[in-house]
Amino acid sequence: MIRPPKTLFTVSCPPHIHCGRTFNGLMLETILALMPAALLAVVTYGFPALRVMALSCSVAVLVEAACWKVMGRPQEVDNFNALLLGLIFSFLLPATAPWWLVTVGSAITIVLGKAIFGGLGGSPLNAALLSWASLHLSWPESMDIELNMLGSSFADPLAQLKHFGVEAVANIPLTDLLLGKQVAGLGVSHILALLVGGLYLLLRGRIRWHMPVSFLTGVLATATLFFLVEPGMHPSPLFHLATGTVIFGAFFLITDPSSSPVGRIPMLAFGFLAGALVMVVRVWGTHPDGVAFAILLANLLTPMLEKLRPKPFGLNISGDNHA
Amino acid sequence: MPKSDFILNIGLTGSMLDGPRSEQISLDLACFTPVVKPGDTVLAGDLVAKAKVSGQGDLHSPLAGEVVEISGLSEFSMIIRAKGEGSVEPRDLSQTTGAELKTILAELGIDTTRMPSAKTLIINAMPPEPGILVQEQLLRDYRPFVARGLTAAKSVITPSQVILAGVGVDASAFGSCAVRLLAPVYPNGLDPLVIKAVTGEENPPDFAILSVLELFLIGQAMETGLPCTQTVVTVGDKNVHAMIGTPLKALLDMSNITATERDRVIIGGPLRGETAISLEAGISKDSLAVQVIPHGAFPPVEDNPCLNCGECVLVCPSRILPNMISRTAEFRLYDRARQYGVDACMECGLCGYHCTGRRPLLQYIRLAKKELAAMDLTENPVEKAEAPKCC
Ligand code: SF4
Ligand code: SF4
Repeated sequence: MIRPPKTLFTVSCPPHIHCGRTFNGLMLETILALMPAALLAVVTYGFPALRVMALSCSVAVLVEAACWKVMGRPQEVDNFNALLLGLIFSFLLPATAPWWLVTVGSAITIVLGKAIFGGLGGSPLNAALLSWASLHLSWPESMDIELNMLGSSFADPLAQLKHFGVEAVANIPLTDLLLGKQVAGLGVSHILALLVGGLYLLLRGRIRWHMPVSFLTGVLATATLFFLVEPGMHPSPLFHLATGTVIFGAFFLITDPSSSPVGRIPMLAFGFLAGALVMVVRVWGTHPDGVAFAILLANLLTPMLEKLRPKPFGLNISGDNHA
Repeated sequence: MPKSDFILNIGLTGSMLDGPRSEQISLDLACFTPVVKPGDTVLAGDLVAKAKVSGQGDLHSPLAGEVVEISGLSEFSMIIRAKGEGSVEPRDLSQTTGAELKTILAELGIDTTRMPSAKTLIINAMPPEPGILVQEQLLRDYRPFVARGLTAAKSVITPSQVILAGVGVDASAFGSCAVRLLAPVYPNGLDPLVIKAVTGEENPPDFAILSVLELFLIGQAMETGLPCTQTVVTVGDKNVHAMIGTPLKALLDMSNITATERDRVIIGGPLRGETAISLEAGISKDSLAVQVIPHGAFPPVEDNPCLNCGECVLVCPSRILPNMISRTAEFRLYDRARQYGVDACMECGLCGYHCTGRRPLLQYIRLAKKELAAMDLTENPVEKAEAPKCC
């Protein structure tokens, strides 16, 4: 005989408490952390930057909503993930990017970078970078930062380095670079603003230190190596930290949960590897920046890096190791 | 409700309270086979159900009364209503030792499967979870009982060394035993981690570990010669010495805690406890605590996809991959869950606590374990005899 209980309580598996960190919160705080850089982008580049960011975000949200509809899946566009992906993607574009480029890129970010892999947590590649790379291969001129920003009063230090050698950048003060007096993707040149956002995420526990720190260490260590081995051929290692997409990459690109490994050792190895690859591309590659290709390449190695995991508790002793 | 800091000793105030005198008690039969039927009258201390796994300790009626119902709320409980007086005769245990004592203890309701003969005996004096104050109280105020239990346990286990592990425990606690101080932070009090902290090894052979509550229950049985029908649970910030089977309602009323619709009523701690269906359910010997977590205090668990943030991996004391295990279990790929180490999970609940996607991680893990156990049985039926560790 089963009597229906008078009061219905919640019955569930443990744990019964939760840290309070939610996915929506994570997305919103990441967007918040990008705001200082987004504001300074508008200050520096004016209305065109705002236009690119707004267009990219809107297209991302609409395309994602359409994707779930077509795929017959529950609508989850309200979790701010598409908004964030759109914003991150727009940060990589030149402020003068034409509307069709932004639209196509933002759509690729969502469709090829996320939806095609089944949504959240499925993509093995960083969505924004995947889209950036596709555009870069299809329309190199339109994506060329230096070419598109000829009207700007600043220069792209990495392009200068590539084309004119180390003398061309020897006299750029580090403070200029930090304050965003350089040309790069519209949101990535304000190093200090990005640092503020990144530190905010770290302090709030939204991202963990392993990947940013090991990535920056990787860049710094490899740059120092080049600097010491071929004296006079390379700018100072700090120049490399403060240019291109390095800082943005350290806090907002390699930390993408879906395409990065889990576990302490894999995360450290992943960050360091990506950092070292940045320098390899910058010194030996044809592309001046290198961060995007370095991270994409490291993404591909993620499954291998994840094998660097410790033995499960107790299994090494009993000889009962199934792994 | 604030974010948990996982601190284990919350500082106990006051002495242990006597449990409420309930007219009706409800015994959990999940691991027992009843030996009485509805309508039977029993004395306090009468055997009412035998443990399904021999040695796990039988179940006795805590009061004289009539068996009103078996099944009830769920298939697994026996309700006894107080009626009449009388109790079984106490046994004289002062001369019994060793194997004979082990058999008698099991008959008195003590789980003796936790008392194999071993070289080292660890006394786990750590609170297993936040909000459980039982250990603190027993060590502070009821040390003679615990010491009596230890003497009995030693005579069964015959260890060559005894190590007491806990927070702020002193070496003089039980004569000459070694002491190991541990940081009062969850999950340090869980058995596998205590063993590791004490010995430096993971799942080493030749070990027995007993909690302070287990020793107290043994000591109580030795002292009174009566079956184990009283246990200690933390309700709110007080400990209660209550009959097993005492309904949750009586315990909560006593501490002025109310549980309303959609709250969670938890038997045990917030990370590993089980939720009760009804306040008529009773506590068992190892319940440890009764807590109420109000509805809406935490973001609810949802059927969200794993975003691969890796938070669960960073906190897992078993060093396994709860993200991948839950993903594979979602798609019934239990073999792959095993490759990701599901067997090593000590069910601490930390992965679920930290999951950004608020996924029911421990539920997936338990599902995978259960399915794997069933698969192992069909593949290798020889092991069947040893298989049911708990029922
Ligand atoms: S419950 Fe989760 S965190 Fe705890 S041991 Fe198991 S998998 Fe690891
Ligand atoms: S914490 Fe949750 S969402 Fe994050 S990786 Fe683990 S299971 Fe996935």
